[in-house]
Amino acid sequence: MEIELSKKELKLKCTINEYLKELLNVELRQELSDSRYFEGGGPEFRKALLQMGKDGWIGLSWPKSFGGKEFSPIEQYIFVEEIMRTGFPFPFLTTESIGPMIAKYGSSFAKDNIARRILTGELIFAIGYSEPNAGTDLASLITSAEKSSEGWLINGQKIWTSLANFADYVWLAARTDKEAKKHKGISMFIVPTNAPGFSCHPIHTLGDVRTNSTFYENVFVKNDFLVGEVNSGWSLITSQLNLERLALVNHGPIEELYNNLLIVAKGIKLINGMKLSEVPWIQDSFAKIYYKLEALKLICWKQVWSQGKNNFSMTDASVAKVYGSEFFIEAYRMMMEIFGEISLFKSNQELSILNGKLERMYRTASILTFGGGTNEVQKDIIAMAGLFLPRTS
Amino acid sequence: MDFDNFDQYSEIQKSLNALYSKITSDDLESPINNRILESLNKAGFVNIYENGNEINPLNILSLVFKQAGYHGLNLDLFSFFIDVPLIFQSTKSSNSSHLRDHLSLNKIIATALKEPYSHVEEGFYTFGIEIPNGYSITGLKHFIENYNESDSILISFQTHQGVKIALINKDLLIHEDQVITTGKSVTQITFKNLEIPFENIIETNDVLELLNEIDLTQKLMRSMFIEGVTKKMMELTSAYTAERKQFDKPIATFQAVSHRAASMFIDQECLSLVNQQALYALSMKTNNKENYVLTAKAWAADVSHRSSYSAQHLHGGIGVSKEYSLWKYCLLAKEHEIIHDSAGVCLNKIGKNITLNQ
Repeated sequence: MEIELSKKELKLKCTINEYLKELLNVELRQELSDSRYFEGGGPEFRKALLQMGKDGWIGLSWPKSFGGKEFSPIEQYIFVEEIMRTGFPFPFLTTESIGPMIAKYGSSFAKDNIARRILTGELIFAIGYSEPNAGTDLASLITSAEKSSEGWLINGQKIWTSLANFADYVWLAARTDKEAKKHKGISMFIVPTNAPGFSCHPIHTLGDVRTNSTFYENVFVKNDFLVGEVNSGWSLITSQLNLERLALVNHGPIEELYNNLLIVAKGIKLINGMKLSEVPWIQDSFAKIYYKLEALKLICWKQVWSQGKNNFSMTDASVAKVYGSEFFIEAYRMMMEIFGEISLFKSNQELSILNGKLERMYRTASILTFGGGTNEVQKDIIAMAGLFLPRTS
Repeated sequence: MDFDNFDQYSEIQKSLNALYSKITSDDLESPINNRILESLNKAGFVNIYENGNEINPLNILSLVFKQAGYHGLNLDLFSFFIDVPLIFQSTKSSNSSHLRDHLSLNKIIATALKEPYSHVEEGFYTFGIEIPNGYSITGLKHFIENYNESDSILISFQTHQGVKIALINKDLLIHEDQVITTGKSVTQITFKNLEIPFENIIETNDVLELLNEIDLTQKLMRSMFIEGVTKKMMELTSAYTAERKQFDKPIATFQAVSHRAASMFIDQECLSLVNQQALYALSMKTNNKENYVLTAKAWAADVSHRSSYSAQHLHGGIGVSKEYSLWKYCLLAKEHEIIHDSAGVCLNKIGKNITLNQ
């Protein structure tokens, strides 16, 4: 047993840190502080991503034959952790979950022309799963892909297609067999966002995060853009989601926020001479966040360690997702209580805490309890696969 | 014991609902204070402090705020309805013309009573040193609502002779607006050696007791506002989960969903009861009013937090989309959860009251 990072892993952490410090120059930071670009997609963001690709920092765990470095899952986790700490909107769903799927199951064309270009930082994906009437019950999706002589014709509508406004492709689930059982008639496609018939409309959210409705009207894709076998898309979706769940609850960003808030609290002097961090109930709040954060870190570490042993567990992925998403909400609330009314100030104001970062993070937190598979379904998975309880009807 | 509301309750509630329904506020950032004030004034809800009103003003105010919350109105009228009337009602000499002008909307007065981190400590950073004709004050006040619509401002500050309140002309002040969660602005003012003549000091009976009463009334009215907000969230959630189908049936038929919605109902019932108890205690000025009001605000803050996240979670994506109304209730809930003390702060104060008094 060794419940800590090895010297090699700590060194990697430092190396990544140093690299990111240089990468996040003034222009990029300025662009990311602009609400239009804080999720990425701006020119400086694109430039930085290409630079990362050139420097070999994308797809660290991918096979060397693809241009990856075959890093271990824990090393890959450290990379995502460090980059998320900086606030750079690294497209980890593209690089860590969709990319590996295309590299494994895509056509030769897709492997050579799409997967490789993910590693060079040229391409970003959005995910096209949910539909207005297919959310938690994803398998009832009705967006269709019909076979034509030279490829597939796609028709339908997707919702919550985040990043579609600047993504190059949509990783799209479509029904290819209307007669088969719900889960059996779905296939996965790579859909270019510049294809004729594709359109994207914004949905603005309370967290200032933009998501989209995407529409597909006779969108044609060639056979090479089908990923995996026809009608075998469901297993690709579930594999992708399992990989996504861990990335969603990476402990890095919240630990970074926690550490920075602790520094702020230590620097605030009250009228009676005490520091904010010396008030007993505030110390108690910091402790409550700390002990829960430690558990999240260990859940994540154990999971990537298991991945390294080829022992990836669906139950563990669901545990991480439920625990992490619910912890975030509680932690942000406690952090706001510590700073009181000042925590409500938005960014770019004199008294804002960390430039309004906490205020914004709490507003986006609830998305994770239903995004990436609602927590009730995750608990069903835990009950079935972790406790071997009878399946719910 | 009698849990019934006062006789005219339903009528007042109906009239407020009709009034608020006409004031649509899809965009939380737009200032709507003046529009609301004019409508409330016309309907007779502004001058509720006039002698001879048979209903306790606090009862009417509680409905004004609760129904505003229910209609998702981002109004900044807590100091207008609470701080200013309470301050002038406690004056030793007659300052009634200020209050009359304020309540007739001729010359609106804002109040600057809050300072940063006042949730963790008592006392004032803003200090006034006595000079021959008055006080020279230095300090900072923040979270001032309705500042831009006001003509003058009441500020509190510490002196060697105790805490004072003064009425100041706005032109003398350096101010800066701060944008908060819902997108509305609150104002911060700073003073450096600002000279305030003695005649601007409002002579009240016991300033600390007065400020405590203002604080308790603010807490209670914000709890009432939250009760309205969370009631609407609960209604939106139950309507949505009853209608939204997944796996070919309404999602409310899944036990996990219906149980979570039921928890919102339990929370709402508890909040409504503790609010009612606090309203009774504060209007009757009972001995235990402070702990009852703190209990109400602690519940309001907790329910505001839990209901927001339950409602968003049970709605899924649509719950955070600005194309559907829930988002604005969630932001309003968050603001009022924190303003005038969060649950943790209120519980800390109750704890101190209970243990020290025993």
